Amino acid sequence: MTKHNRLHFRVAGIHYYLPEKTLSNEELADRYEGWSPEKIHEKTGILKRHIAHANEYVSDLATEAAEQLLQKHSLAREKIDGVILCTQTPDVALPSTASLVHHRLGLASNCQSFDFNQGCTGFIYGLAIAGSMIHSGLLNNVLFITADTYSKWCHPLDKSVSTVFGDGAAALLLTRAPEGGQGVGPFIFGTDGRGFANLTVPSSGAHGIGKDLSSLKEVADDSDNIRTEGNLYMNGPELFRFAISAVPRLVKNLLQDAGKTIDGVDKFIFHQANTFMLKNIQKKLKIPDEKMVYELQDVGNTVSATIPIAMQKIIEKGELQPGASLLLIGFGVGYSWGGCFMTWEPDL
Amino acid sequence: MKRNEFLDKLSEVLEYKEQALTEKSDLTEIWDSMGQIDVISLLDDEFDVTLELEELDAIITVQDILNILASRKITLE
Repeated sequence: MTKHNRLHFRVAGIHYYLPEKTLSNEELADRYEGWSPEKIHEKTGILKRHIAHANEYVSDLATEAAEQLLQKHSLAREKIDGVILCTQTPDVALPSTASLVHHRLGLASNCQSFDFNQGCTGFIYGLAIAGSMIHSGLLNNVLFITADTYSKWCHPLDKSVSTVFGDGAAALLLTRAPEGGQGVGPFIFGTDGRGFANLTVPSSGAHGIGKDLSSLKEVADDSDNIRTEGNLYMNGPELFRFAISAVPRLVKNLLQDAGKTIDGVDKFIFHQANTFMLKNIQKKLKIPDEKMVYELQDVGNTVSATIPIAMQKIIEKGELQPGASLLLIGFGVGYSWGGCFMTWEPDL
Repeated sequence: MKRNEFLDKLSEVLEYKEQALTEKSDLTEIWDSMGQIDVISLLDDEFDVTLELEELDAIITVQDILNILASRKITLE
């Protein structure tokens, strides 16, 4: 059965921004006994990550990515009628960071703006939210931005997260698709809240109110990682188990919904979690090397920004041709998963 | 696959050389998070077995893994 949840919009522009400061495997290996830079690269597929400065926040990364996108695109900024920001590390709990980004970009007062809280599936969610609003006629030109600074939650002595996550932002300009355009879809989403506690910052949000973060106890786990309740915790094995079971199933269901096979897809762009996980997924699905995108070596896992960063990187390498059929897949924190097909119809 | 072969593979992926693994070996004493990931990957590669969340949480001994395989109709001689 072919599902008809196609949304009539397209990506008119894409641009990512990374903080200047970087963290190399050499610096990380100095922190962890028995770990070499080579071993970190082998386990994660990452050589360096970009890390926001102490006084650099999601609003800064998001504004920079969007400003550079607007400067390279011909669309007048007063025509933008929506700013949608996906983040799990907003500057403050309220108001939404999107209102600050809206202000800094000098957008029109009749332009709506809001944040939504999604992680590794956030890019797919944002396409569905913004795409639905454009498809319905509510909006015409949306700035959809994904930005996160997970590094602010990472304990420096927790290698399970510090070796993997990098900070970054990606901005997309989403507009109405041209007549006869393919649109984006079908989409599939899913949730398994049993995984809630396996990737989380336990003492954050309302749980953190009234607690003195500096007085939280540092605890070492079985793998000698150190963290407090106020740090990011990731149950790596459980996330790996989840990914290799949920993601292949998601891909198969999407192919079925679209009436396609792996042969009919030009590029598979998965959330860039880590290379080891993606290699397992690639092998299970028998995806040929030339169709499988790996773009995390120089940026790490930037949460909701990994897919658009990978898209821009392959555009710059000339590996993404107009008309190409893309399968975009997000998965992780929640647990959540989601994916969609996109025909690449750029106007960059 | 023979049971001994599986135990050898398990030792290999866990890089555990101190003594031969048996059904009674307590994996929680042996594996760290990297080792757990390697075992999940081994079960997937060798037997096409993907674990459920509760199954991974409940593994303590090597026998627990054999029981999971048996529940998927995979018995090792």
